[in-house]
Amino acid sequence: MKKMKFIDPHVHMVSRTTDDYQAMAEAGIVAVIEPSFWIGQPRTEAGTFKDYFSSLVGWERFRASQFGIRHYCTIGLNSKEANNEALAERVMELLPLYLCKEGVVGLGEVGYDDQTPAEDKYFRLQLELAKKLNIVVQIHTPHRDKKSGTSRSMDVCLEHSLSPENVIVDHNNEETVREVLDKGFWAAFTIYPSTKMGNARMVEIVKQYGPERIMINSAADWGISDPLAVPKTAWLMEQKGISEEAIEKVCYKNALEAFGKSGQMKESDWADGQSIDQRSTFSGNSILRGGMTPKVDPKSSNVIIE
Amino acid sequence: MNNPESKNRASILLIKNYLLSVLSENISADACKWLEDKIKEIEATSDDLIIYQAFGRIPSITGKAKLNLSNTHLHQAGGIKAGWCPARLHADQAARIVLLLSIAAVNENEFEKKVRTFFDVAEVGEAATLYLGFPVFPQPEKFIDLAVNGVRSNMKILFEAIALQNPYPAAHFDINAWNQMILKAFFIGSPVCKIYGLDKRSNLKLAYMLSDYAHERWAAGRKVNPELWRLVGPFIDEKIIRDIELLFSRGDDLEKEAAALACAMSSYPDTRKILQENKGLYSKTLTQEITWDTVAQKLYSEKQTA
Repeated sequence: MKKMKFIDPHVHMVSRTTDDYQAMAEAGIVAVIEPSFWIGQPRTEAGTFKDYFSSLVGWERFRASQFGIRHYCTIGLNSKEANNEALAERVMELLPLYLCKEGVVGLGEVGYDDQTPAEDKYFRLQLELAKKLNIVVQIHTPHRDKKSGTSRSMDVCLEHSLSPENVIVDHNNEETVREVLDKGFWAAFTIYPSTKMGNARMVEIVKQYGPERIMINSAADWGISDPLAVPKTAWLMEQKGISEEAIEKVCYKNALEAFGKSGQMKESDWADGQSIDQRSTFSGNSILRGGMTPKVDPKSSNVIIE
Repeated sequence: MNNPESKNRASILLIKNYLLSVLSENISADACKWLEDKIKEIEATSDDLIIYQAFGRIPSITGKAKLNLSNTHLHQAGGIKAGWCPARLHADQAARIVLLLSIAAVNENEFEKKVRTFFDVAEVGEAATLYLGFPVFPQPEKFIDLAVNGVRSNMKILFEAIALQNPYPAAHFDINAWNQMILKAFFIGSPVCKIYGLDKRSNLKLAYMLSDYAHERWAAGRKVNPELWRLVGPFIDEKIIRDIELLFSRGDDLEKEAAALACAMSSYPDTRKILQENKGLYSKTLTQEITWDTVAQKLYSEKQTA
């Protein structure tokens, strides 16, 4: 396989170590998108949301840059925590402060968890905000009652007159993909061990549906997950005879096209490493300089994610 | 014009118009018009969303090229604010400062509130821009806490926005904050020669701190930035003279030059004796073949600086 560039359009880097960043950079990941989500346990203050959002546009972006990776994010109130209405109200006030920032490529990840009335209310309010600001939306589809939750998420987007090409529907599987593609939305797949997609299944989906409007991500977070899921799946696709052009679409180009619609993410951001914007380089910034060996070689170990 | 508020207002408009004039020579006519339209919109409404959106989107409209100043503009800058260096600004930074000054021109209290709000949620580029704006903001003393905090940042880009080519710290930092900033500049390898007011704000306490710092470095077998002796020179006494003697006996060429320059700044009698013993270097300091500028040039010629 020739050296390919990858984008992981859904990964929670705040939970990951520098070893991960190093391995990701070595494996060819040039850019990541970190959706805002919950952090494993419920927050009780709007201030912790604010600091979390600030870390996504601040410290985490800086941390990624030290490994030569461009870090973008989506900002939003996640569905789980939308159920704390008193808190949700105050988080809604914070969103406009962050959504227009440089490197914020959209609203996300938002949608349904238990599909409660509160979740519905804040999902809709946020869709209106995204429409007003003309930014893309990254939708988290529920773990439980996934199929109907996915349909409902798309119906609500259409009801609020969002254009499907501005909406990325995430965490798809064999059961949801056809409807998502038929309705004109972007279909994202999360390669996450045990609970979401495995990458051998992913290969079959690309074989069946082709590479148009499909993208894959790791959604790696604080759980047992794999920040190399995108390069590993790319490698597996190559082994299974999928064309290089198709691999590039689902592992790089489609994410760039979809999230690039916000005007906050361009290939030129990383075409020449990080040096394009001299102001964002830091002394001693590249820990990878000097020929360090990667910790994980996606080509040789643990390529199959089940 | 005796009313302090109207005096502030005149100064705000002067700086705003100056930056607009510089911008008009650096960004497209369309980008200029966009900025002027946004300013009018903000003046006419008090819709925060418009302000947040404009502030966030500026880099994608103006680009981020470093400003090119005409000779006339360069000449004018010094008259506007001593030490202010608009030539270090990039297009997006100048435009954001203009936007904030437009708010200040209408309502100075609202301006302070907005600056604090933007700080609270700033991404790296925004925070750096705010620090660069401090010297030309009205009532700059109101932002000392924010500037002192900026010095504590782990991100070099933020530290350097406040510390280098910025007249704000020299004008507003107390001795402790100033000394911490200088020490940190040595610690993280920032080009100390670019700190405004370096010689004027040097002090005995700092000289001792720097001498101690040099001893720590030497004990660990590390080199010491020779610029350090520039801040120690005027305070050479029976204790510090031993450092200077060490530089002459064991230092490299550049350290010896720095030691000679430090002696030339001192009125401590033993320094005369040392200079007589090192006549070659001494005469070069007199003919200005060696100055702190030439030391800095040799020191940083290889390195990329802000």
